[in-house]
Amino acid sequence: MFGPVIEGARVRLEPPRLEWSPTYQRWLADMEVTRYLIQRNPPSLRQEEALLEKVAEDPHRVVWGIVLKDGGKLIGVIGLDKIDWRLRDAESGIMIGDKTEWRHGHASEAMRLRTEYAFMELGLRKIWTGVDMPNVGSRRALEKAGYRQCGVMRRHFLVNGRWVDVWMAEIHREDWQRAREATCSAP
Amino acid sequence: MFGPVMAGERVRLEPPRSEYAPAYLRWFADREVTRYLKVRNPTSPKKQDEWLEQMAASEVDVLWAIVRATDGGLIGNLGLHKILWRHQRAELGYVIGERDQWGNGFATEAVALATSYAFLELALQKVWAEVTAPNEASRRALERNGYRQCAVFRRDRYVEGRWHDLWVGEILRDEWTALHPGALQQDT
Repeated sequence: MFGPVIEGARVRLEPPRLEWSPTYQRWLADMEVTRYLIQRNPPSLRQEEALLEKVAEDPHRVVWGIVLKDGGKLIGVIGLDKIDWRLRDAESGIMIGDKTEWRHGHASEAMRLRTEYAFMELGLRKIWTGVDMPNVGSRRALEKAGYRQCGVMRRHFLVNGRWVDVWMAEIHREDWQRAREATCSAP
Repeated sequence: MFGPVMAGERVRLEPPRSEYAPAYLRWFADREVTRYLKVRNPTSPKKQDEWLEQMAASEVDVLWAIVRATDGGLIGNLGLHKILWRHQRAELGYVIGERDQWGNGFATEAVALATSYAFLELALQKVWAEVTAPNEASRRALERNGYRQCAVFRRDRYVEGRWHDLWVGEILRDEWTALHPGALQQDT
């Protein structure tokens, strides 16, 4: 599935557009962007378009583009992968491809918008993720968005020739709801 | 999906086998069997086979054969259909195709097994079913398992020159849990 439009304060999640494919290709060709991603090679434009079509009809995925509300610039992609409808969970996926927009808090805002959608619209119970230990930016964004460590996979991923640990984290619906009620009822 | 084996006292639910196709064709050629069903015609052996494969591949259907616990003889079919994962509900449908097996309470037990599967394994919130109003045996099988009427659609089914109402029943997760204390250790 493509995700519907969700407005945040500074970013907006939007259904992916075909014309964004060259941008994705450029991001995925940049080894600094992909350092901590599973995909470390750029697709052909045709591959990228075929992938979008596949995602559009896949009931186990939801994908959005992340754009800045101010100006509408595309800065990344975010999604829910491996949705298991019986267990009602999914894996987090995110990339801020535009390096000039790193460290601005866009990822954590996009994650918070996604969490509300996953719990309130899709009825999921939890979202889980694994982040390479050295990927401090992604980890901080997840923690800010309410994800908590649930384990560490040892020497699980290859980064620049070194095997690194992977930080496993998740956000549960009950925890999220409790935190939200606490915030809303605060004076 | 095909459903896994679920053993009751007198019937067992099993994944359907392709050699059952001739029995299905026979059932659906028998107007007494199909009188209160939505499908009232047999299809070709090839189509019947394709339908089974379609069900096996579907992520929104769970299909079982109903067999006798004593000798494994095929007596009917049962499925959870149109599963809406996002809304956590499904429709239950069944047929006891072997007419000489009617009146033994087999459907009642099959409904019990499938309903528990829906709540325990699929974690659904609701199961619902449609019954053509005069089909009292079928409605009783549901009511004995805690399904309650939630709607009656008037003059909804045209059968043998007459109009019949359609009875719609449903059971909610809470209701099922209350009927089966201890079945759910921890609920979300």
